[in-house]
Amino acid sequence: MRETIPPLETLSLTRTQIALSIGTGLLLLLLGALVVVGNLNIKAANSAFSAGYALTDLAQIERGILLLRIETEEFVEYLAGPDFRGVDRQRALLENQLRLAISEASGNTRLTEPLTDIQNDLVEFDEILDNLKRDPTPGNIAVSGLQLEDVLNDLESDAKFLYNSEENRFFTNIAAALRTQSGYQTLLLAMGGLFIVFSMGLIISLRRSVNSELARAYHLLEEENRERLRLFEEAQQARAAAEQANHAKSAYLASMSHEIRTPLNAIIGFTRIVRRRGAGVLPEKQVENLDKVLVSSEHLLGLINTILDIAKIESGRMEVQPSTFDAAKLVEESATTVQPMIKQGQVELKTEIEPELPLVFSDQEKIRQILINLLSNAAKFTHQGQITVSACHQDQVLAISVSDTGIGISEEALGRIFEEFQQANGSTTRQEYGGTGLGLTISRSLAHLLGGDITAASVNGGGSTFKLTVPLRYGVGKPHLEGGLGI
Amino acid sequence: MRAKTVFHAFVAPIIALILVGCSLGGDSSIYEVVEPGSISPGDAVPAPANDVVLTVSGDISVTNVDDTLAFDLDTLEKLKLVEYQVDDPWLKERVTYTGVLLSDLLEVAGAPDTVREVMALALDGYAAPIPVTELESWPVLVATQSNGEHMTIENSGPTRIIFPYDLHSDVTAARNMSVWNLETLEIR
Repeated sequence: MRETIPPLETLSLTRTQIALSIGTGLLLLLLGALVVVGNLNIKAANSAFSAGYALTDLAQIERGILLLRIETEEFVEYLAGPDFRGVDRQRALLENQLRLAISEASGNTRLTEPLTDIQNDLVEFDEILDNLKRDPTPGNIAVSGLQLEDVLNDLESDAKFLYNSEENRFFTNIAAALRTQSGYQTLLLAMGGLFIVFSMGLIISLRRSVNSELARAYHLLEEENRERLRLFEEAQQARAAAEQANHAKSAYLASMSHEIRTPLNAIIGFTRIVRRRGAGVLPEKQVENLDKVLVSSEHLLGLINTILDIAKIESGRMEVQPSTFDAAKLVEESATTVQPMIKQGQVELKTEIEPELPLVFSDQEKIRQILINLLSNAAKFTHQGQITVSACHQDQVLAISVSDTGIGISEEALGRIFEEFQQANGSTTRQEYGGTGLGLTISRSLAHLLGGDITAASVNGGGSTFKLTVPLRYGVGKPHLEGGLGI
Repeated sequence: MRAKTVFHAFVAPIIALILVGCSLGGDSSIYEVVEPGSISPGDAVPAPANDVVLTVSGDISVTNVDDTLAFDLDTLEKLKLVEYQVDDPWLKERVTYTGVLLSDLLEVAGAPDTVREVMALALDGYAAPIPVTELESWPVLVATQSNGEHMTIENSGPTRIIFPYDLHSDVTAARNMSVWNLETLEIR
């Protein structure tokens, strides 16, 4: 009927969360792929840069052709005498450059073809130079010099064109590589951003669902609490109802008091008559039987009276009849009343009464009833030592305490001796000491009725002290209770 | 890029250490000694009798032509001669280069420990500085022969700088320092 709170680890993912998880995972894969592609990209860019080698080579070749031209011109125009060493060396260096460049660019016809063309043009240069070497006459030098210059001009423009186109290509490549790289970086950035957004979304969504789960758990707890509160209220109502029922029952018992006591009084009265008249007539055995009937009947009457007292108090019918009296006198009288119950020779009963004790305005009979109850308890449970009853007053409160050196009451029992039908040692006390177990309950109820209270202090095996406190003037000051048992 | 940096930072020095350790042990797996040579550090170097194939200048204490140390091919090859094979990045084939170690050449020229770099200059005007650390890390070769043949200018000679391209951590740098048609080494 009530939903149980699920443990949080059984949290199930919503569709959005699953989508977000998959998205995050895919983005992660994509990012990984991009990193790999990016590496290739960087490699491509690097290779584009390394294409610059060819450019360096081409520049060297262009420079080599220029140097060859200078050497040739120097030879043709200024040198007197057939010294070809400068030209030869420069020609060799250029040849080396071309050879290495072609070798390095092998497979790349875009470079090898024009380079091979240059090489072939140089063959023409070589032929003219060879001719010049064979006939180094000024006339031949002038003619061949012009031819060489033509060839060199062609070579120079070819090399320049090759270099320029290659340079363009190089820078285009570099730019493209950089563009691709920046495009790649933008893509990586965008993907990274998306990844962050997705993962944040996932985290937030998960947190939210944890939160909603917590909220649900909280809600359930709250409902449970409300349920408990309701049950508690129900229990309280039930208790109130029960109390009301009890009250009604007490009222009924109180109203029945007369009807119950009347037949019992009749039984006791007529038994007494039969016993008195039958003395000497009836057999001794039958007189003894009549005595037992009387003792039992009187005991029964005592019990009934006690029960009816409680019923009276519970039904609120017990009335306080205040009068002005001498409390010292009351204490003395009560002590005298219980004197016969005290174990003679073993227990001493003492009274300690404050000399200045003022007159008291309260219900004298009820206080007497309480005192006799307390004293008879003390007498009952004290086998040797003394019982002290003392009376004093303080702050408009009369305090009468009864201390004994009896068996005492355990701490555990002390808490419940004032409850109905409770005795210190439930099973044995009643058998050993008798009593209804209502005495202290009635006494405390009476004390409450008078605006006072009874407290108990005791050490198990070390005697007990019961203290009755009632206002010196009944009805003055706040009464302890409006009336009733208060249990 | 990063991987390369890491490689530079950690792997290269380790390889270098291993290589240095090998060369110190004289049992190098990179190069073989062809001839122990007759010119050792501290020896006087005779003045060139033939065409000069290499001139060493700058911060040196051993000289033979003015304040430079000039070598003809015979004299140069009287230093300890070593050789190793490389995948030639230009010829794109396996080539055995023979020559003298640039580090040996520096010792023979009496270059001090304070030397930072060697500027390699080519006949065609190309120039590239080679940091001394390169010589400590790699057997940088001043090659006089390729595949057992002396090199003409048309074949990048008469001398040229060779690096172990197959092993070097930065092939681009190694290529840039590989000056062919070598003319002068300026120690500084």
